[in-house]
Amino acid sequence: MIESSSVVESAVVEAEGLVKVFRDFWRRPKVRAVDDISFSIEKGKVFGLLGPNGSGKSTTLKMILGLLYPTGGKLTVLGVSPQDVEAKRRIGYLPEESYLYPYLSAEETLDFYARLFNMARPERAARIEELLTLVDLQYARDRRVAEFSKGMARRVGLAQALINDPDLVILDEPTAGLDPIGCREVKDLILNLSERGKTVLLSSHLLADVEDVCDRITILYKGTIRAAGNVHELLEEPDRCRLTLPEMPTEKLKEILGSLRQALGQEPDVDHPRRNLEEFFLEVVQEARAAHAESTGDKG
Amino acid sequence: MRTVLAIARHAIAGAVRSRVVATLIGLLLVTMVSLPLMLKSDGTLTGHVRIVLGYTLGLASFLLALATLWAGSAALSVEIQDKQAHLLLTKPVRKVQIWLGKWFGLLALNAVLLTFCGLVLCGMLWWTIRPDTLSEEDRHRLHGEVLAALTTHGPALQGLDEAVDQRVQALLASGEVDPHISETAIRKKVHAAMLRSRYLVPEGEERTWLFDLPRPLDGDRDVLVSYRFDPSRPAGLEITGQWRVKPVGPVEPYRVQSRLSTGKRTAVRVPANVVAGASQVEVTYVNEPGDESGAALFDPRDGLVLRTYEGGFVGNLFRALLIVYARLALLAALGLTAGFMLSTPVALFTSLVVAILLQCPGYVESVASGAFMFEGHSHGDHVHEGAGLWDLFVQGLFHAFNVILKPLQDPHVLGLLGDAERIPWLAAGRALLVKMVVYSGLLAVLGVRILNRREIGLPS
Repeated sequence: MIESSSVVESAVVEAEGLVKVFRDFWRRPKVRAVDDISFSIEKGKVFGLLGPNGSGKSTTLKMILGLLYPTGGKLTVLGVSPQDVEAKRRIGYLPEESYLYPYLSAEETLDFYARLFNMARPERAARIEELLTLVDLQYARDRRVAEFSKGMARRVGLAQALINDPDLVILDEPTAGLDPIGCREVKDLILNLSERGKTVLLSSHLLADVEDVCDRITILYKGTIRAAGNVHELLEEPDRCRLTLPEMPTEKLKEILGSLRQALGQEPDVDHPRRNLEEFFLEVVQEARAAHAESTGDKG
Repeated sequence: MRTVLAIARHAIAGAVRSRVVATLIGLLLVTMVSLPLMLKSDGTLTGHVRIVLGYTLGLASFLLALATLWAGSAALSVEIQDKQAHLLLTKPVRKVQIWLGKWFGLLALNAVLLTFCGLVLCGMLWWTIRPDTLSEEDRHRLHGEVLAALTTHGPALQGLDEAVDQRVQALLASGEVDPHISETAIRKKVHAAMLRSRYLVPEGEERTWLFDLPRPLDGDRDVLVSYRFDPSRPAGLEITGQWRVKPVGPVEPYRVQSRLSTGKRTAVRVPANVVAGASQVEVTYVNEPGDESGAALFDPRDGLVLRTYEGGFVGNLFRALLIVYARLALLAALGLTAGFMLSTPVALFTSLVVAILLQCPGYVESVASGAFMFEGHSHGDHVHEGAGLWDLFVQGLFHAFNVILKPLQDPHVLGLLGDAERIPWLAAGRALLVKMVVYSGLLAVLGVRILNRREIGLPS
């Protein structure tokens, strides 16, 4: 383990010695899904929970949501037990699958969840409008969720998670099923939530997504924490250094490399910086959109 | 409350959108309309109306009961299985609000469907007795005897209990009775025998019964003397006699000549003016000597009754539907609570078993009393000896069922409606209170406690 968590005063979620044992029909212990883990999630931070399948991520999330009861240890969410109904007013949750009612439309889905928060009609209508715009689903507001693609259902799921403008947003694989543009939008949204002082707990298999948005991560393996800490600190290689140079004549570059070789006593690695595929894809799509708009006169 | 209403509204939307309601309405309509066409009545219009009343409403309430059990069992268990409950339970919603919301949703659907059934039934009856098919007199008779709410009064049996007491004491004192037979059993047998003697009219004799009415008759409606022979009499027997009806006092009775047939209930219509203002009515049967005649023995249970008009059919139907509605509410609560702890098929099976036990109070009571089932240990009125451990366990179990189910027993409303027997408001109110408030409330508490302990997020 690289770092053990300490109790933080402004912790939104705090787990100490958390244990979850699944039992069989005869109450005999079957699986120790979470084994004595401790962590805390600070207010306003984006916290990533990583791990391979069966590592205990979902079990931990479900305990935080009150859908499972810890076998041992202490767990508080927003300062109270996860079972506390009032605390749930401040939580938004997007499950791994969207789990929506197939016979409701996007708007009705949001309306139903808004009603569960006792929102008055005008507030409800305004919030639904805002969220449908945010997830870009105004055009499909009256269509039944059963007719939606996975990506569209995901967007509705995300909108319902934000219906109450929650202080703690728990997102389980939020970008699953989304196209790269949707992924980018979700990541921007997460960063935006963080800027607004919201706390985000994110569980994902897509490590690039986690790296892009998380302040802190915890890596679970077979129910135990194997690594935890600030993303930049964990990923940084302190014994190595990268030097980025502007474009220059070959002769000049050779001269600099010669000096470096002489100073280091070894051959330095030289390559060209690369964009990641997501950045490249977004750039291509944006260019295509601009060209299309120019040729059709479409300003939108 | 807004949360409860939101969940109820959502449950209704789910049922409507998934075409459950449309399918049920279609099924109810087809079966309610087609069933009376397939069944043969006794050829009389009264018989046909009774068939329409009994079978259509009976079938409708049976279908609704099944649908309610299924919908109740599936209401949350399907959401747990499909994991929509993962979202619902992470919202600020109390478990009791979920239970109540789902239940109110089912209640609203049942109210709509039952109202629909009531309207279809009224429409069918209206069509059956429409003016162009029936004479005014027949219509009047139908509205007085079948499509009405009548109250049945039994005769006053003065001195019966005292006579039974004396006879029992005399028998016990004589020492002629088998000592293994309990006093209760002896009393029961003596009572039955003496009661039968009160309904016996030997050939060539007459007997008078006195009917005490709770209030004087208003004189607007005819009164019916309804009678039926004891079922032990041979079928097809005909007895010639005369009925005499009059208020208590020195007045000339209203006389009706009749030929009594065994096997079916018959009514003598007594004009309203004969007994107007009377609160005590004397009914006399004169068993005239005839070719085939013998003693006339009326069924001691309800073989001779006086029936007075208390109200119209629609009010009676409404009270009957209220009792059916209370039963559906209980079934919804039962299914819902089962679905809170079990998967849909298991919940449905469990609630179906309980619902069947609810429909068989006589069977449950018999097993609980040990009157049968314990072969070799029980013989009618004899004291049980050497009952096995398993027997005692089953008897205890059924005793518990009996204690729980007994307050849920209702009058057989569909039978009463077909017999034009008035269903009291008290019975409807009691059914609503016991089933919708007390028992459904207890089931709600049980369901919520179970859901509080249940882990919804267990890996599947």
